[in-house]
Amino acid sequence: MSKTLLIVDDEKSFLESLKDGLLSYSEKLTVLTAGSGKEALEVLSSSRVDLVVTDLKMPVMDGFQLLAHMTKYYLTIPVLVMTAFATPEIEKKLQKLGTSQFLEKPLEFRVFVDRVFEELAAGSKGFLHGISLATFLQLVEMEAKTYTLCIKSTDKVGYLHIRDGQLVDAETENFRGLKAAYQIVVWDETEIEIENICRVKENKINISLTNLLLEACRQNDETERDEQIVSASDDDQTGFSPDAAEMLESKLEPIGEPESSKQVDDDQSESPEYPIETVKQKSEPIGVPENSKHIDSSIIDEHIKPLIEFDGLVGLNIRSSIGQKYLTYQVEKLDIEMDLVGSHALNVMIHAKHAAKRMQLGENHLIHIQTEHDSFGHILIRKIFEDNSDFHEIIILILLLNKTANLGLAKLRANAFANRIKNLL
Amino acid sequence: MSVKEKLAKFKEIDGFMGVAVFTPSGESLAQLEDPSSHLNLKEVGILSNNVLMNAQKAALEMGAGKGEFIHIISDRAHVLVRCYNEGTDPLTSQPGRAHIHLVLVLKDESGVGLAKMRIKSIVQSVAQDFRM
Repeated sequence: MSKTLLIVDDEKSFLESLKDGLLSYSEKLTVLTAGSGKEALEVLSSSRVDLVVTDLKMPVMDGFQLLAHMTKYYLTIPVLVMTAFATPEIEKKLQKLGTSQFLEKPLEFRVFVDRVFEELAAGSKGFLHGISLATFLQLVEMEAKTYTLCIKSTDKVGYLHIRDGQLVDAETENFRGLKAAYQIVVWDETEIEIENICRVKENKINISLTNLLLEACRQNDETERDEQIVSASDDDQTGFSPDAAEMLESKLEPIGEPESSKQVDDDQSESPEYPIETVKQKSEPIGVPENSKHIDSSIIDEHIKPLIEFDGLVGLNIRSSIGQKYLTYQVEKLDIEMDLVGSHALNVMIHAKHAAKRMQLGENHLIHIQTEHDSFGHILIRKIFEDNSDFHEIIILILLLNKTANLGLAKLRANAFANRIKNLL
Repeated sequence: MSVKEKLAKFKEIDGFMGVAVFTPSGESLAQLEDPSSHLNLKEVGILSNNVLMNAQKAALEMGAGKGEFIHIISDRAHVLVRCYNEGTDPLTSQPGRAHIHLVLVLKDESGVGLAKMRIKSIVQSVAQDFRM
């Protein structure tokens, strides 16, 4: 029986070329097209569609709005999203939470056809349909969207507050913050409602959406493993002891709020070498996953001097991909938020890391971005540490340098600092 | 002088592995490689171009303005990507204004300084052949 594919994209020539390419499959596939989310909904309401392939950036109603609408009214129709930012590793991880539903742009026609038929075949076998919440959140992060998402699942309702692709807060009936976020992202059969605004001003969650999903995935795996152990014990009729129940409960404990362990040290008398906006981790962070690498602030203090005193340094930031901020330093007050710089730099490093791996160039250590900013013409992002286990934590050093800085020397000092810290970890 | 001849100037740089020119959307315009490098230049070019685009978006969002150049240092190569855009919007192309991305791959850092100097002039010269 012929299946119906709906392709949604605002580029008419792109739609036409895909349609032409798929002509040779006309016996198996009927291709419908739509130029916006709104047009797609019209098609969905008037025709039977077996699979939707959609772009995200479109006029009138964008891909996000379409996906959210589909989670409510067309939950059974599988979706593939075309994006330029998908990474195989994240996709693989996300398969544990839902289906991997990315198609990487620019599209390779052969890959496109294979995925379409794969997805159609999976649909007929009764696999998970629609867009998974995990995939949806990935897209929101990649596209740096600002939303309040209302997530509904059976009798539960939760809210995710997202600003510029960063999760800033979450709420469920009983919890708020990270604890609520960990609960929401693993809910099944979710319905998503989008509000194009984020009302939460204060950032209460300091972990990227990708890491939140990966950590939730890890916790889920552990819980499942523990449940299997418990169930096996039941089968053996050895009973389910209160100790085992406690152990399971402790496994279910969320990781907590890294933010709560941070102190902003404005007291210059205490730390004269960091005159402006210095954030230092004073103690073992609460709620950071057990296998996370933590750099003690005394180690940083001991080795940071050559960088702080570097001629041409404008700002410095050390942070990890799980949301830990170790040090923020500005020589003079800049018109930018160092936090924002840090999180974008981290994103660039993670993106480049995946690219380098695919290019078979090995690990990448340093990225230099030259900009037109008057105060800092150079951004150096140096990887300090990378955890190659399932946890995938990355710690980076970001240096903002003015246009006249000695780049070669800055790279040398950044390398020396990173190597020293790495060896001490 | 043809585009290939202009790009051939990079061959004189120590550790040259390959050079490619792309449209901002990642489609290849021209490429030249050292056959002994065994580099999949097409893939390296597309992915590096993608890293530049990601970095440009990040630079804009962090308030640093237009990001014109990136240098990626990895275990086995140095990848230099330069954006040449005569338009006013860093992320899009405008009619009549040249907008290309040049990706240069070097084996090690010995030629990086010279490469940076040459990129500036060569990208400008190559852009003339791809004015939209």
